[in-house]
Parts: sequence; structure tokens; C-alpha cells
Amino acid sequence: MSYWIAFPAIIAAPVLGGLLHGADRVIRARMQSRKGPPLLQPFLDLLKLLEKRQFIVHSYHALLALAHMIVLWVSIGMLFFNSDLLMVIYFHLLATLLLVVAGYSVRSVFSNMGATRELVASLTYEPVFVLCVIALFTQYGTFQPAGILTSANPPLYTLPFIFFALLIALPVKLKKSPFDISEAHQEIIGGVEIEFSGFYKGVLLVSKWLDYVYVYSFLYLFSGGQLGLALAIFVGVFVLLAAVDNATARVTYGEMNRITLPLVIILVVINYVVLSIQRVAI
Amino acid sequence: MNSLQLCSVLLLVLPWSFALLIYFSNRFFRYALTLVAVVSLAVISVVANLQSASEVHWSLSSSGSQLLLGLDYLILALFTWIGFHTKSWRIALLSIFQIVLLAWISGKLPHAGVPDFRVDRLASLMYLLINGVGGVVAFFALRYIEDEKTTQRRQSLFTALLVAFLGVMNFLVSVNNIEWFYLAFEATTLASFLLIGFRQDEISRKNAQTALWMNQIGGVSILLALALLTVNQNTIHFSTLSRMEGMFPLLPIAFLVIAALVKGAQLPFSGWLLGAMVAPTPVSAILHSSTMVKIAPYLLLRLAPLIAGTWLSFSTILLTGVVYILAGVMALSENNFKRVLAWSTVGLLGLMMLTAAIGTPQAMTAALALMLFHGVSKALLFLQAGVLEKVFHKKNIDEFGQLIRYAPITTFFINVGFLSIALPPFGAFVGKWLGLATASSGMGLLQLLLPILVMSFGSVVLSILYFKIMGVLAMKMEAHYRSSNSRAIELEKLPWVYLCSGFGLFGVLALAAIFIAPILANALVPAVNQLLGSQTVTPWLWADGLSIGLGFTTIYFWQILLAFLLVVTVPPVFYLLLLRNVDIVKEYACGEKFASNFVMYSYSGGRKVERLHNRILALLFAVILLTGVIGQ
Repeated sequence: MSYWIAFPAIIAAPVLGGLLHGADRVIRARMQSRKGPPLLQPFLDLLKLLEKRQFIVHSYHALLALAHMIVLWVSIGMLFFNSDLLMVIYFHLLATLLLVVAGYSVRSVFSNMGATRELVASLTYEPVFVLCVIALFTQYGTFQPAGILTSANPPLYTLPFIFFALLIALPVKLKKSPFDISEAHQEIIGGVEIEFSGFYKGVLLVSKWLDYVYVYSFLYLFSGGQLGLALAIFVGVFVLLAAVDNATARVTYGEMNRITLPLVIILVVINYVVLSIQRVAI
Repeated sequence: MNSLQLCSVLLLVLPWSFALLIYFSNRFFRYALTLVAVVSLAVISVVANLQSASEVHWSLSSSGSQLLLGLDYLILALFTWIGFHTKSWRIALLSIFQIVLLAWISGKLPHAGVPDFRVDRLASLMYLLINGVGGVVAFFALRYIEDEKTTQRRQSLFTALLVAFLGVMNFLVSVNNIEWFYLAFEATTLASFLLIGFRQDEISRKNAQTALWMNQIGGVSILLALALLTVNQNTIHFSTLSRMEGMFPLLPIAFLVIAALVKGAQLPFSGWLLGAMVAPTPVSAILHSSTMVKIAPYLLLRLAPLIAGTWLSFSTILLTGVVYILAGVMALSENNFKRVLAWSTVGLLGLMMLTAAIGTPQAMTAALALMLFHGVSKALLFLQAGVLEKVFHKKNIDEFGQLIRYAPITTFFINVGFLSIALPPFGAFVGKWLGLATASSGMGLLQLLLPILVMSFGSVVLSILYFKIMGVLAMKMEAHYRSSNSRAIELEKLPWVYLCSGFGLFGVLALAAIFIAPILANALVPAVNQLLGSQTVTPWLWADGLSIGLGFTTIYFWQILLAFLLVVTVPPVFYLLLLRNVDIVKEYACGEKFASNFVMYSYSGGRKVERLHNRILALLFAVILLTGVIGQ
């Protein structure tokens, strides 16, 4: 992506993410035969949060939410600026860390538990992102998005099983059922979020949007830059995630790891076996 | 004698001389001499690395080698005596077996006129690690040991032992002759035995004995390798080994690999390193960071060109890979801070040996970077464990809550220590990153699969461990804490020695992070190229200013700087900031009234996992031997 597109895209990332969040809510409602909120509801939510009087527990706690959002934004910016994908993933890991520290730093059982679960969740999705990037690298010989996006053969066709592995990890990352253990509103009341209010809750809302952008940017890589395919991936995954979110009940974190980790490993192994057979055949 | 040789001779001789002087000095001279020793050793190792000459060789006269052989017997006799004295038959039998083996070998040793000392780039880099980081630890120990209930004389002895240890390590990395390597290996075993048993209580003695017999298995393993090499290859030098062409009998190499794995505390031989935690903390710091366990990746790096692409390499990758993940899981189930650090060392040593065993230039550079920078990070972490123990009287992680409030400096150091292993832009991270990037090395896809899976999962397990502890450090700060200007931040008062050593290591980490590109391109990659004996025309890694360039990707300097800013500066600055015009409230906690008194979660399966996997790993050791036999 040239700088002239990257800069505005980075600035617009939260807006994009907000729209995604809004669309997600609409689609989920429609699946339940509800009308659902308007598309711009997340922005209205944000405006309301920003207007509120500021109640905080302590400054460090509140500021860590801000740091979390900044680091997330930076990691997305790096992605758009054609940075090394592993660096992007580890920047993203730093954002997780800041949220975890925030979650632990207050005397609230739900917040602490949410922080722990945030860590458990990252055990599930981070390796998948890393494995994705490495698989892309073995196939395209580059760690930078530009090289993947200009290739003739989109990764979706060469690395389909890795793509499935990523799909399994997405509900964990985006906190969607059945793997929304780190948020789990009925259990731990939103986890880390619970002790934030007003402006800083708004900051976390924006972080959530940024996570959408981060995840769908990764999915975009699998289209190899072909717009039609990208659109198909986007719509397919978007609807699929909403459907799964609607149709499944939350599992425990132990079950989550037992379900996802073996599946991911098997999928990765299958993909590598297929690739190596192809290479031998050629 | 050129200047590189002069440097290494000084590094071999000076630590011993200083150690002797320190032993016979009072408190003032102990401080003064140790300072002089640490500074001069560090300066000499820096000078050694700045030399243009990349390699020097020299030999000793035959009486010199006789003397060293005598020393060998002396150490073994000492071990035998320890074995009988403590009624530990394991130690006694292993020692006697070694004496017999050594006597048999020493009659047959080939004298091919190969130089017995060889200092190459890898050795020079090891000097830097040993004397730089080890020196800081010895300096730290000056103050630490004063808080122990022990006499002045024993305090001097402690510091002297630490400094002498550096001498042993310098000797170990300078030798070319595997027989002398064995001597150095046994000498480090002796040094660690003395240091682990320093407190002279029941548990210290017991754990020191464990360390002794376990490491002697490594010694036996080297001797067996030596015997095989003498009989079949008629060579006992690293330099001639690495020049062997074609199919090379792997059994002696397999024995050397096993020695490395034992020294590197890989499961099921992890017991000695964890047992070492009973010793004064500087002992752990020096064992984990710059000496002892670092012999393992060092030896593997030397052997890597020989085993690359063989089944031996694969079985080593398998074992170390399993250890890498298991050690992370074990660490998650520990509560004692030092034991957590120890498990993380075991795991990361696994990673270092794994990457070294892959044997491609990229992977070996990864191993080297990990080995060097992990040393700095682990030293920093262990020193903070010492500070926590002596100043704040805390050893367990569940007592670390709110540490950030009353010990912000220590917390900062601990955070930097962990972050510098887990996240960019630090050297250890770059090592992990290179390890992952190793996929470019042209290995078969399926061979690659195992290291890739292990590295991507293992690094996240360890990251979770670090993040958990960093979370606990900031845990449960009181709601009204620092809600107004009246409660300004209070820095803890630490002894100047602690502060200096902490900031010194932090400075090294920070500088290495900023200048990582030239360090990689001008020091680490050439060292690996020299090991591989390759004169590659096109370098695969280069420094573009301060950016790291690789053929397939670039890490720009702005990214390094940004990472540094976000990882190191932002959290402390945000901690110092105070929000104005806000209302401070108590936690909402969904209106729950009960006091939440849970501290943190640990993974509970640790013990069970350990027992189960010790068996599997013992099997994997057998597999390594087997692959050696097949290679034969």
C-alpha cells in the first residue's frame, strides 16, 4: 500500500472498525429475526460514553486502557505500512499485555479473572497468527504484506487449511461465542472491561473496533490482493462468525483449549503435508 | 603474540589472580579488587571483540598439558572424596569410572600438532557474555553476601569463587582440545557444586550433590565421546572435527550433544538447575546468565555444522522442542519466583539448542543472539529476585502484589527483564524472530514443521508466564492510591550496588536493542559464518544504517525505536502520570460485597506433567543415542 493510501486508512481504521461492529450487530439481530440497532449505533454509544463524567479507579488503570488502544492502533498502522508481519503480531501481543496489567491492577474479582482469561485466550489465538505468517512465508518467501498481496496465486488457494485454522481462532480473538471466555458477560461481567467507565470505557470500545480491523486485515492477506476474492472472504467470514456466535453456547476455557489447539495443529500439519506433496509433484 | 591472543591470555589468567587476592582481602579491598577485576575483564573482552584478527591459535608446552592433565585427575579425585565423604555412591562411582576412562584415554591421545587453544569470533562473543554479565553479577554479590549470616572470610570466599568461575568459563570457550574442554567442564561442575552448597545447610548440601552427579553424567558422556574419537578418528580437536568431510560417524557427537543437554538442564536433568535455587541468589544469576548452562548452546553451536541435516539433529530438535514447551508449562505451575525463572531458563535453553541444532546460518545466528541476550535479561531478573529477597523479604509470586507501589524501580527492572525476552525490539526477541524466520533456510517443509509448531506455541506459553507475573506486580492497587497530588510517587531506597548493577544491565539491553542491526551484521553473523567455515559472497543479513535487512523482510529503525518507546517508556510514564479532573471511585465489581482474596492462577498439573514427561524425555535421550549409533 502506498503511503497516500496507508495514512488515511490508518486514520480511518477506528471508523471502519466501528462500522464493522455496527454491521455485526445488525446481522446478528437479523439472524434472530430482530430488527437490531442502527448501523451507526456503536458510534452513538461512543459519543455517549465520551460525554459522561469521568469515574476512574486509579490513574494507572485508566491510562493503561489508553495505552492498549494506542498500541493496537500502532500495530494496525504497521500492518498498513507493509511492516514485518511477525513484528505486527508481537506489537499486538504488547497491547494484550497492557490490558492484562490493567485488569490485574484493581481490586475486582471479575477484572482479575478477565485478565487471566485474556491470557488463556491469547494462548489460543497468538500461535495461530504466528503459524499463519510463517506458512505465508514458506509459500511466498516474504514476511511483508506487499509481497503476498502482489502474488498471482492467492494464499486462500495454497493455504486453505491454515485459513481454516485462522477461522477457528477468530472467535477467540474477537470474543465471540463459543469462545468469548475473556469477556463472558453472564459469567464475569465483561472481564477486564468491568472497571472502566465513561471516556476510558469508550477507549476500550474503540480498541474492540481496532481488533476487528486487525483481524480482517489479516484475512485480506489471504485474498492475495484480488478484490473479488477479498470481498467473498470478508462476507463469508463475517456472516459465518455471526451465525456461529448466534448458534453456539460458550465453552469453558479448558474446553476451548482442548478443542482449538489440536484442531489447529492438525490443520497446519495437513497443509504442510499437502504443500510438500505438491512441491515433490512439481 | 597478537593482541587478540594477549586479550584471551589475560582473560584466562586475570580472574584467577584476582580471585586469590579477593579471597585474602578484607571488606574494603574486596570491594576495590572486585570492582577493578570486573571493569578490567569487561574492558578486555570488549577489546578482544574489536580486534580485526578473527582467530588465533596457540599451544602449550608438553609440561603445560601434563599439568592440566594432573589438574583433571585432581578434580576427579576430589569428586571421589566428596562421594565417599557424603556417602553418595552415585558421585563416587561416576568419579571412579571417569578416572579409569581418563587414564585409558590419556595414554592414547593423538598428538597431531593441532593447536590446543583457539579463540575465534564465537569465543570472543562468549568472553563478552561471561565477563560482562558475569562481572555485573559478581559485583552485585558484593553487597548481597553482606546480608547473609556468614563470616567475613566466607564472604570473601564467595566473591572469589564467582570471579574464579569466570576464569574457568573463559578457559572453556578458548580451548580447542576436547580433553581440556572436559577439564573445563568438570571445573565448572566443581565450581557450581561449591557455590550451590555455599550455605552449608542440609538442603544446600543435598542439592549440591544432585548438581554434582548429574553434571558428572555429562562428564562421562564427554569422555566416551573422547574415547571414540581417539580410537576411530585420531582427532580430539574441535577445529579438525569441523573440517571433517562427508559422512561422519555421529556417535561421539551424540555423546557430546548429551553432555550439552545435561549441562543445559534439559528434562529429565533439570533437577540440578532447579535445586540450585537454594544457593544465594547471585549463584543462580551467574549459573543462568553467563556461565554453566550457557555451555550447552555454546557446545551445540560448535557441533551444529557437523550434525545439520542428520537424524541426530532431528532427535535433538525433538527433545529440546518438547522441553521448550514443557518447561513453560512447568513454570506456569510454580509460585516461587526463582523457580519460575529457572524453568524459563530451561525452556529457553531448549530453544537455543533447538535453533542451534537446525544448523542453518539463520538458525545458528538466532541461537547465538538468544544465548547472549538471554544472559543479560536473566541476570537482570535474577538480581531483582535477590533484591526482593534481601530488601523486601519476598520470594513467592503471590506476595508480589502491589510491588509497583512500594518498589517501582525493582518492578521496572523485572518488567524490562521479561519484556526483553518476549517482545521487540530486544536482542532475545530478535533471536526468537530469526528462529521463526528460519523457514527461509531451504529445509524440507516437513522437517520444518516441528520447529515451527514448537516455536510458535512455546514462545506464547512463556509470554503468558511473563505477562502473568507482570500483572501480579501491579495487582490490586488500592482504589484511592495516588488519587491526588498529596501522594506523590515514592521510589524505594536501594543500596547503590544494586542500583548500579540493575541500571548497568538495563543500559546494555537498551543499547543492544537500539544497535541491534550492526550487532547482528558485524558480530553475530560473521561468528556464525566462521563456525560454518563459509565464505558467503552475498550476506543474508545486513545493517542498513540501524535497520536490519534480510532478503525477505526488513525491520526498519523506526520500528525498533517505536517498539522501544512503547515497550520500555510508555508504561512507566503512564504510571507516573496523574489524571486531573476525574472522580476516583471504588471498584464496581458488579456490586459484589465479598472480598476477593485470590491472588493469581497457577496451572495445577505441573507435578503430574513433570513425572509423566520425565519418562518420555528419558526415552528421547535414548533416541538421541540411537540416532548417533545409526549415524555410525
